[in-house]
Amino acid sequence: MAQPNRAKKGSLREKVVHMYDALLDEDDLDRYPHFWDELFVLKPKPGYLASKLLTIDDARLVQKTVAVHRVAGQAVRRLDTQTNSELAVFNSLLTLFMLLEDLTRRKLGNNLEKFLFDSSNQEAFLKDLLESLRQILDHCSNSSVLRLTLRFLLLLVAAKERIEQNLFVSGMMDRSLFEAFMKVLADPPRRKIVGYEIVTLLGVLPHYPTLEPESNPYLQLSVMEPSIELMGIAGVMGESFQSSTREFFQQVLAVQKDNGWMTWITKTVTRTPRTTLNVHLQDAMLLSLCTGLKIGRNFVHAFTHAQSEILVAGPPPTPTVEALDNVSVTSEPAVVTPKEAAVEEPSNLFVEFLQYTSIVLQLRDEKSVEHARMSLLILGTITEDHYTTQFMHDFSINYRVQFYRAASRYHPCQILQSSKPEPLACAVLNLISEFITSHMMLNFPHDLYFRCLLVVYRLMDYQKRTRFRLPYQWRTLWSALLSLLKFLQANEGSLIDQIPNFFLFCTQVVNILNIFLIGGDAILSQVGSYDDLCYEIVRNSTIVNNAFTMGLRFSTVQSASIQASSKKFLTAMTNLRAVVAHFAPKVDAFSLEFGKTTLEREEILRVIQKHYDTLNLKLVDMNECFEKNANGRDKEFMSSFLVNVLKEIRTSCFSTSETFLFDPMDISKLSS
Amino acid sequence: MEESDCKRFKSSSEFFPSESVEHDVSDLCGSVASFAVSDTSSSPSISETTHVNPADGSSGAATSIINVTSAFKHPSILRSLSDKLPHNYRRTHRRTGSSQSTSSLNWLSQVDESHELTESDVHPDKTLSAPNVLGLYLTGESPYSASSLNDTVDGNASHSPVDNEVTAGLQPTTPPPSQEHTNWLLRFFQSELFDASLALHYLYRSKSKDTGVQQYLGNRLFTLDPVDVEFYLPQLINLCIDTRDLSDYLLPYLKYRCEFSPDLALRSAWLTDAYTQDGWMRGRKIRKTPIAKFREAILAETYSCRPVRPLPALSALPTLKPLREPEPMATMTPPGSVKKTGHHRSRSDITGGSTTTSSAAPPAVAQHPVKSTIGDLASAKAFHSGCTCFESTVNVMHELKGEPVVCTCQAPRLAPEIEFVKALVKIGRNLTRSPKDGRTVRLAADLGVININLPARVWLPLYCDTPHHVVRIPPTAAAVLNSKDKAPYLIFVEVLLVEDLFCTPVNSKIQDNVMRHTKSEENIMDQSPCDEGISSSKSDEDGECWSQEDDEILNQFPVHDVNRLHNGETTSVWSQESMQSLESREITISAGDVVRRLNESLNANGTSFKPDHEDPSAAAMKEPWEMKQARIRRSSPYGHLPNWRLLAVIVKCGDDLRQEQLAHQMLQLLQKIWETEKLKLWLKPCNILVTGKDQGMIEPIINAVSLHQIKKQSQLPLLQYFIREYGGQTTEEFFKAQLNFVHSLAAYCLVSYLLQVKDRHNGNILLDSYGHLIHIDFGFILSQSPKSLGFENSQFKLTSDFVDVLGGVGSDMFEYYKLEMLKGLIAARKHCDKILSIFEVMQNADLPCFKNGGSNVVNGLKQRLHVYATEESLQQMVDTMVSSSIASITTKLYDDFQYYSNGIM
Repeated sequence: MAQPNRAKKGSLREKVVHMYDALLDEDDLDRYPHFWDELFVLKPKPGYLASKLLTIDDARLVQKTVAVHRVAGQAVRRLDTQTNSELAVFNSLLTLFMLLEDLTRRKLGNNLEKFLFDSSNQEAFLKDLLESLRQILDHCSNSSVLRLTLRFLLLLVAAKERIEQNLFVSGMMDRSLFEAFMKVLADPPRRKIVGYEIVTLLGVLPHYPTLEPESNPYLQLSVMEPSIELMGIAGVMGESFQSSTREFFQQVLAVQKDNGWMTWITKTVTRTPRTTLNVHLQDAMLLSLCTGLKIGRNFVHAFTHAQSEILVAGPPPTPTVEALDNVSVTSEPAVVTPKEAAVEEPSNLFVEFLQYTSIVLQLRDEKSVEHARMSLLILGTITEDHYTTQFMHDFSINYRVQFYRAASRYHPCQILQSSKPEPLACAVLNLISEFITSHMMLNFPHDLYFRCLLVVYRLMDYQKRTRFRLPYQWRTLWSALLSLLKFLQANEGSLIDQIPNFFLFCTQVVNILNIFLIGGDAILSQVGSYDDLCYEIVRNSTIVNNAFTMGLRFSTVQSASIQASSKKFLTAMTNLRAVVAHFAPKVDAFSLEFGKTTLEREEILRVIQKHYDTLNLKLVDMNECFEKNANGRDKEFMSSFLVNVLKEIRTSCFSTSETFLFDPMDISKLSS
Repeated sequence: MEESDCKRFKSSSEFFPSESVEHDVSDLCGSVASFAVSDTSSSPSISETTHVNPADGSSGAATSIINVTSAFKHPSILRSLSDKLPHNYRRTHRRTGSSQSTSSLNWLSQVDESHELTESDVHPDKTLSAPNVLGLYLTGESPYSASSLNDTVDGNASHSPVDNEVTAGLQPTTPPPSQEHTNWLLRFFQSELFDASLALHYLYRSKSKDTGVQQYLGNRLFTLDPVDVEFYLPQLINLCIDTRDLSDYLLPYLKYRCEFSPDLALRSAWLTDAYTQDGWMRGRKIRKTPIAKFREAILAETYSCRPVRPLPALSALPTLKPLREPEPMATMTPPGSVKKTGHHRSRSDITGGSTTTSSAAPPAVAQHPVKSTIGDLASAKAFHSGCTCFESTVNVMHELKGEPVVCTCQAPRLAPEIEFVKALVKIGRNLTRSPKDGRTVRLAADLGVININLPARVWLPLYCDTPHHVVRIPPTAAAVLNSKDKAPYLIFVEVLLVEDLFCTPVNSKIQDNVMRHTKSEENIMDQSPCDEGISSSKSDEDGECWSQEDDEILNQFPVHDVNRLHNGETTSVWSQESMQSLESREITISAGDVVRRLNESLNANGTSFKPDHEDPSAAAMKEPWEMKQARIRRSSPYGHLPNWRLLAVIVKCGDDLRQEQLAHQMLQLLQKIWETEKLKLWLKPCNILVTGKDQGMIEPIINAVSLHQIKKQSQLPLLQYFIREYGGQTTEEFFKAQLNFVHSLAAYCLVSYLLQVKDRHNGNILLDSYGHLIHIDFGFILSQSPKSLGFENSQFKLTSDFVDVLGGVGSDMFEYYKLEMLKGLIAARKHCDKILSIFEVMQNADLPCFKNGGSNVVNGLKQRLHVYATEESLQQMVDTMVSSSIASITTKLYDDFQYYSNGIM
């Protein structure tokens, strides 16, 4: 053994510390009998090793390469669970984790592997390492070993900035780790421990480009059946979203509590900094969800499977006494007060996802915008699918979705919740209406708007085709669209440069209103709804007229493309203008007749009802403007998102090594 | 086999004067007691008689009677004799396909022979059949095939009528005077008239008194019609629980039956559970009672003896061994499954490369976890017994050869089924704890989990007549039913009919063929936003799988399309027109038309009920069964299989169904009585399965909705609803429905009267699509009313609504209704013994209806049957009952009360 250097610190140093020193500093370890055997059963001091490694700068590391290779090789040799004790496995894994963490931290570029193992026996090294890890996944019943293994795998995957350069990932492609992952996902106690990590891996790994696409084992996700595994994945995602949402909502409720009348005054007077709301962003989960949806044929099933207590061993929700109301149209969402929030609602991944999205959509920082884009991309994929769209419109599947409403001039931040469970399409529409009204800003996120409108269009299209009458308070959407039109018209000057195809976008907005005007007989669920629609348009007649003049103005402009698209916009506007032109004089005449300057809503509705017959509407083709909207930038976006996710994983892995402690407890005992 | 014995049995007792049946009960019991005492000394003689060859043992009439009585007294000796038989004896016996017990047969043949000994010299061929039978059994082999056995049986049967005539002429009708009194009872027991109902009656009457009679009756059960006896299963179980002595004599029969019918075994276990869970066994050590042991034994699967058959292929196994390697795929997909082409791709296809490793793994690894997964829903194999026989090479060979496939492993057979029922009940319990408006969603979620564990070798015990395997429970078709605090729910279960529950392999899993369907083409054009690897592999599949037409996909989801009208609406014009360029032509539509169409389609919702959040079951029940079945079949991945069926079941937990079961028995009995009396009275007894004291399953009445729902949804009086549904009052349709209504109304009025059914609000009265009125929920019967309100004083519910459908008081239909009731009552009175015996036996059970003293209840029922009234007075009584019921203020009061308290219209 190395001589104890007491003089240095004056305190007794543990044996393991000496061994760490020897490990890196001394060339000849053979003179210590059983050095390695001892090293891996001693209680590790990750902190010391990490700081020790930190003292070595990159240049010196090159000299130490042999020593590192030796440690890594010995550690890998001890990963075999059959011949080694769980403790030894854990310690060697931890050693490897620390080495890799240190190497990843350094800006070594692409030759990171070179430092970890000898490039001459790279094949054998990778094979041994991954095979052992697979064995652990399959057979190990120790929770701390399992957790560390998954963290280590994550670190391996995130070791490089770009996944395609990662040698470890290419190694993972060949082993049947996928099956091992699935086994873990199917087993609730183990899923509880490492489910999140596995789902993250499943989100990342399919993106590795292989020479032959079929050889990527993670593409098996695409044919995954609606089974325990898939429900397990859904469960993990749902729980992650739920925890983020719940955490955030608690903050909101805390803010709400503060927002009493008096506190508001004191706050405005004293100008105390606003409490900021933080949400734990679930990058990896969103990526996994999107990946799953994009490649998985049956992945949509994950959405529709409600969280069952049998699988997600949660506490049973407490029964609540609900006042019965017989309104056939869903009422406006009500604000959730702190008291109500305690009630556990039944939910599924879809609900959790929507709630999470409602938060992400309202956050304005750059990272959240990325998130919002991802969420809307997912929402778009969902609405594209017939099965999920049908699921959203199922009368028997009702949920009460809570969603977040950011503070605005008119109201503080709120959590809104419908008064009774309603089909999920209602929640989606609520979410989008809220987004439309809340994001009219000069830095116009037109891309997000495009996606939102597409989602609405698809829902409408489904309802139109199947003659499904969603009991939704459409007025929310109509007024949101009309005010969006107003915003567009008012800020045309700056927006026309921002938005690639300004008039196409305007046309889309108008066309959604057109769907109601022309096809309302197949969509609306209430007798008076059509009157409401006309009322809403007549009420905003100035918006309609101004928008029309804007279109006229651009139709004579030089640029041919703008000219053409603005003409299309004018065609789309025909019906709105017809409604205004038809009813506005009648309403005026009515007010003249009765000598009233301001008319009641009911009176105007009566006028509208009387004069339908002479109003003629034009059939407009709406598919065109939405089909052209295909977005080719998804791919770029996905890969940049992936890079971000890898970065996230990397940072989350750093400095966690000290948190790993060996616990000899078996998983089966944990669950019981 | 059994048939022949019965026939001979009957024939031998044919000549008894039929009046002898009309014994006074107490009289008989006394006589049996004396008879039991009379021959205690004759027990040793039995061993001789059993070995006597009937052919040469033609002794005199006197000895024969001693033989009979001794056999009567000591069947246990015979039982012990049968125990000495070779062990495979029973199995051989099974293989012959007969369902006769060996011990009973042995013993029966004794009884028969002793009777026939006197006749044997006249007709030797008849007695000769007995050694044949015995020989067959004793050899243990099967030299006689079942058919040859049948031949002998048939031969005998064809002779028997002649025999009877001859014997009637030859034989003096009175037995020797010394035994006369005894034989009346014996002869009665042996007579053709003696059936399960009488057996039950006498078993009950002889309780704790006459072990001889009990023993005899216990054995006599073996010879009765099994279906008939099965009908009285709750009563039998109850007798066993109630009287320990009786269980000694009844359990052998039950055990014997359980061996052959796993379903009966399960039901017995559940019933035992249900009737012993409550406090009336308090003070006794339940665990020690024979019935409790019996239940334990069933659950331990002692009785579900496997159909172990010698496998001829077993010897050939070594030669088959090499076959195993080349066809791992064949073993993976159980035979009989239809593989869907193209769209469906099972995981095994994908992992095809890796299957070699997994199949090469020793089976021990695979079997180990299987054992523990029963009941673990998260394992996807919760209802899998661990039996792998059907995948074995031997059975694959059998299947290919067309031979029956057998399961030879020792895997539990009942455990999966028990777990299945448990899982369903557990869902119900979870539902009660979840908030009311989230129940439907929760139900769907939980059923989804169950689905993952299906298909499996499980079945719905309610429909045990048709053997089937459950393959799927469509989660969205299920509905939670209205209930204040309980959460019964209705599920539709997709099953595949099979030949034999345990011999037909379970169909392999087929996934829902709901696949990704990209509506717009943008994403296909765009490829996947993921990496190249993904997109190129995806585009392969795009070509063949994802390019289905909208309509095709839509056909799978016709839920919302039902009301689709093709009358030139905007949308249809729209879609046509969008094909052409709109620039060329200007198409205008009138806003007025749009509004008009909107209003029309909203108002004209037709006869289908609107989905209602408060009452999701209404819409589920209103949809005609055929339509529902077709719809589910279309969307089911198993729908293409020819043996696909849809069954419906209501799972209840938290409700005591034992009383419902009693009422169900009563309804069945009345139905049978009226059928035999050729009356048109119509009842719909819905099957009930009791799986515990407060849980069970009910067969839902299909195509029926409650009056409450009718009133709420249509806002019409009943007559107007009839007119709307069936056409004007003069149409044929209406008349048919009206007639159905009358027959069912009369029948249920009688049931209400006899059972004093209370809680008759409109939510408990259904109307089916043919116009039949059906009462459900017999939670308050026989002297018991909800919360002892005592509102409902009238004998049955006859509202003016009902009378209006009949055409008003005094109309022809109304008179006909009264006449039918009278006829029904007279018929029921005629068979009052049968009716009474059901209740009599149960009166000690802790059922709510017997709370106020069981004997009072039975006496009350007896009184209501008016055994001693003349037909004229009966008629008068029916008249007064009807008029008082119409005028009854309490019926109206109770309806009002329900309306205000529970909102039931």
